[in-house]
Amino acid sequence: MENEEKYTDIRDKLRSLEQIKAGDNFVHNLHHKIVEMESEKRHEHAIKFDEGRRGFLKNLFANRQFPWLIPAAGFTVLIFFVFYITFMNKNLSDKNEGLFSSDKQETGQQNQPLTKQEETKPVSPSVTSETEKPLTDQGKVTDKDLSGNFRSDDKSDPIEEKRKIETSDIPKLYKDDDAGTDVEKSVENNGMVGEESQSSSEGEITTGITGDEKTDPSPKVSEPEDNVSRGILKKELKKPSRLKEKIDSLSKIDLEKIRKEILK
Amino acid sequence: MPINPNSDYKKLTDEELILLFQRDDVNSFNELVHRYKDKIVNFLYRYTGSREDAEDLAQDAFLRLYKSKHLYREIAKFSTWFYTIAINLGKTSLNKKKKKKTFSINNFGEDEEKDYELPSDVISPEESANAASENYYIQKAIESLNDKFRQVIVLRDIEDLDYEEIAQVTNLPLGTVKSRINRGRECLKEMLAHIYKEKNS
Repeated sequence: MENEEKYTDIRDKLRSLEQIKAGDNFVHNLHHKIVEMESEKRHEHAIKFDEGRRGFLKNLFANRQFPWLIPAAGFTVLIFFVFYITFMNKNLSDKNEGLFSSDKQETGQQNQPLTKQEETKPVSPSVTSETEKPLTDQGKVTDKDLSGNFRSDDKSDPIEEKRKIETSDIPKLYKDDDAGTDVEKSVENNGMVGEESQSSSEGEITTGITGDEKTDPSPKVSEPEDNVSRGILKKELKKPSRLKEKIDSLSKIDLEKIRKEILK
Repeated sequence: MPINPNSDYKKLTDEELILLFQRDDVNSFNELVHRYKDKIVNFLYRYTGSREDAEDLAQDAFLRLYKSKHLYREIAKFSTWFYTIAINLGKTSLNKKKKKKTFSINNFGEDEEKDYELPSDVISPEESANAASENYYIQKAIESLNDKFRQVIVLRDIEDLDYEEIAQVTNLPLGTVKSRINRGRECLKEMLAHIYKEKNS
């Protein structure tokens, strides 16, 4: 308060200064400025709204601040498409290769016995007809077995089937020569010397004897039939020894005589 | 947007008017313009020393009020808030002007203790016409004061704001405001004494 009193003269002088009043146009000018400001605001809002409506691509490319975006974006899109197409093709080709190889394996497994059958066809068409016979007969056997104890599965192992076809082919070749010597030759061919080959040759021998039992090399044979076949086998096992003895007894001279007679 | 203050609005306080204006009541803004236009123009004239600038700045202050009405909070008096807007605009204008026209003694040295500046030698026609009057000398003395003294002197001794309000407007501690006011008055006294001495001699 002391300071207030100390400078009263200055304060009075300052307070006595003329009060400056706003001009007559002050309010009018202010009104004009406000209207201008609001119109600018509306214009800015409209521009922003239009920019929003223009969409992403127009906003991106219509902006003149970044004209380099146009070629850059185009190039990027092009690269993306090229990579996409190449990778898609690569994946497709890999898949196709995978499918082809798997199909190949499957078809190879399936075709193996078929090709062997096809190979046998040109050799002797009559044989093939005969080869089919035992296969059809096999069905009969199975039918028979349905009434009996045995039952063969249709979906047998492909290796076994392959072996059946191979073994079924062997006696056919001898059938052409002579029906009577069929068994003997088959026994000779399969090596009757060893006992190990007995079990393997059992089926083949049986096939050689009876047409119905020929395609049934499997050991899953009913017991009465098995006994019959075993009996026959035993008899036949004795026969080759006689034949062998005869063959051995034939001398070279006799053979030459036979040859000469044939030539004549 | 017609500016015709309604008679009902005259009964309302400044704070009530600004709250109404925040609810988009334009008539309350018109009433505020009506109440403060002369005060702000007078304050800005005393602060800047130019009538044209004072009117332009006062209009800018009202425009700011119109645009930034949502920034006002009830914690402060409306007059304090509005004077703050005006003083900031005045400061900006003076700084721009200083760079163009005035030549400050403080620029010679780094001595910031100098309390007043000499005005430039350029005398406007308005100045020459009013040179005879006492008001002119007082105004010249105020303009010669350092900015930090001038604003508090104008707010206190011309606009009659209390110390606390001045402290809020200038964003200074109360003690600093008081000391600046005293130092400003002292400077004015010295300057006016010098002017009167020269005039008498």
